[in-house]
Amino acid sequence: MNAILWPLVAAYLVVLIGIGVWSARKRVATYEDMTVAGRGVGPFLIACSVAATWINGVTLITVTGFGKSFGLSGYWHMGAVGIGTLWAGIYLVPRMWKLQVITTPQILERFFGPTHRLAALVVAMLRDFAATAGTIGATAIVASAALGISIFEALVLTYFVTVLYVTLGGMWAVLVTDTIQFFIIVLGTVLLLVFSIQGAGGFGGIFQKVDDPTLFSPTGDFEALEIMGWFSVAFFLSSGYQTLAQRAFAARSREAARRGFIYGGIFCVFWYITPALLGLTGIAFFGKEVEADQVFINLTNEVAGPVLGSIIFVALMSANMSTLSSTIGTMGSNVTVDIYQRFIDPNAGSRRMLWISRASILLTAVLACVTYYYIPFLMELFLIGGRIVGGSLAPVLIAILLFPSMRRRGRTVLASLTSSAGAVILCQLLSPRELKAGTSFFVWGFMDPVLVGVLVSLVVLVVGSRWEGRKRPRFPASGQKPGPTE
Amino acid sequence: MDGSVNDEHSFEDLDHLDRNEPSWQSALIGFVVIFLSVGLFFLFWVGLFRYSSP
Repeated sequence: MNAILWPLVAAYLVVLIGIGVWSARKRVATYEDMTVAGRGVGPFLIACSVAATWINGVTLITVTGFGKSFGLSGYWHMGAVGIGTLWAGIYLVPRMWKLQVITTPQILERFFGPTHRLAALVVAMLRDFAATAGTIGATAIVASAALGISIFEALVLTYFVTVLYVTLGGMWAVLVTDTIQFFIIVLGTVLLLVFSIQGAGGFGGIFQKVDDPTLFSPTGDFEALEIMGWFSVAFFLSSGYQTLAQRAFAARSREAARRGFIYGGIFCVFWYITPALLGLTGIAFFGKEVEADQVFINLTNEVAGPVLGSIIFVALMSANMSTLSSTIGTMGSNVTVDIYQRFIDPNAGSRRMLWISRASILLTAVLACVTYYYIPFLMELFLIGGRIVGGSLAPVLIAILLFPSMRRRGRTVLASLTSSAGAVILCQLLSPRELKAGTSFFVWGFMDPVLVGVLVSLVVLVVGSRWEGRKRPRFPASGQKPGPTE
Repeated sequence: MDGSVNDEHSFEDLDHLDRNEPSWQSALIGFVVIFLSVGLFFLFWVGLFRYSSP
């Protein structure tokens, strides 16, 4: 531990709380301000926030580990997420924005009904819950190691501050803090990369020390099909991710949403080369025997002095806290809009809804923390939820947004949601034990449950829409409601 | 409401979604173009890295 670490961390946490208080006083008057920042956000904040949401401590350390184990091809793991976000920004986000909803499950109800909404709600919340509980763990472990405090103390310090600013300032606080965190992450990681490459003797030095051409190949040891497999998984996961979609709902215009996602996506496409390269540099420093997950931390200890080391630690904390704040905020919106407003009190006044949204954020935050701390074995259940989002919710969302005829195929969509979710669960249960653990989305030598779900979705959507289309005549878009079934 | 057919909203309300938006065909082409450009950029970058080394 060094002398500037604690003051830097303290200053950082104070700034975050300050932004929470500022947002609460100046920006938040209704529950729409809390959940979607009053739909008044420009492309810059959205872009920084989208990038900061993707870049968390887990992906940072995991992709660095991938860089060490698989070389430059480890990039595809998260590079695909950048491509998915960019693509969604152009083709899905403008359509989503026009719906003027607050949460993803609301989209399903807009087109079909409450059953569809509930199905989507369960899946979307499972994923955000898994992401929250997982990131709580990562944040606490990192903070505890760097600051020399217990896991419990680290949890109180980092999680308490995150929950505080989200509860006070809602989406405004999340977006502004995300933007600050984005710059800290970029500064910390890029400086670490520059110093590491310098320390390893430049690109030439790394190439000589690593001495393994496959690690420098864009596909590494993998076959093209395998790379496409990883790629598809990350692509679908990014298309169905409601925490991300909520940034689009917060945009002040369709154009702001579109541009925010495009810039954020492009940034991720470029930036994710950094951890892959850090992983390779790690081999140059520590040899191939070093443990993949340790490379990032070891590099920091090796090349960064006290000042840079402290910045990198704050960057790692930022990466985790920006992800946490997003997922907590989104789950709070789910409870407020999809449960309370829809099923408990549809006529609640604005003031009441504001307090309900704050209480929802607090409630879900406490639940996620308790789950992480006391019942970690439940995590597996929630991770399945994450895979169902990719394998079941994402294909359905893409289908109803891009294919107008699917919006009249309620039964097909519900069948697709449930059957592909079933396929994902079955696949997950049948997969070998060691493949279930860990944070990686990708499974080598075994078809990822997300891909199985996507295939089942595709078949059900195509076959079902034909069948349902034959059963129920198609109506022109004239405001005419569907007549009675023949 | 049986949960499968939207009773409350006329579909006309929702058809503005596609006004001025690219079709699914362009979304597919767009995906291929984005994927290939990122792939090419990555290849170029990897090549630069390999061949700039002594």
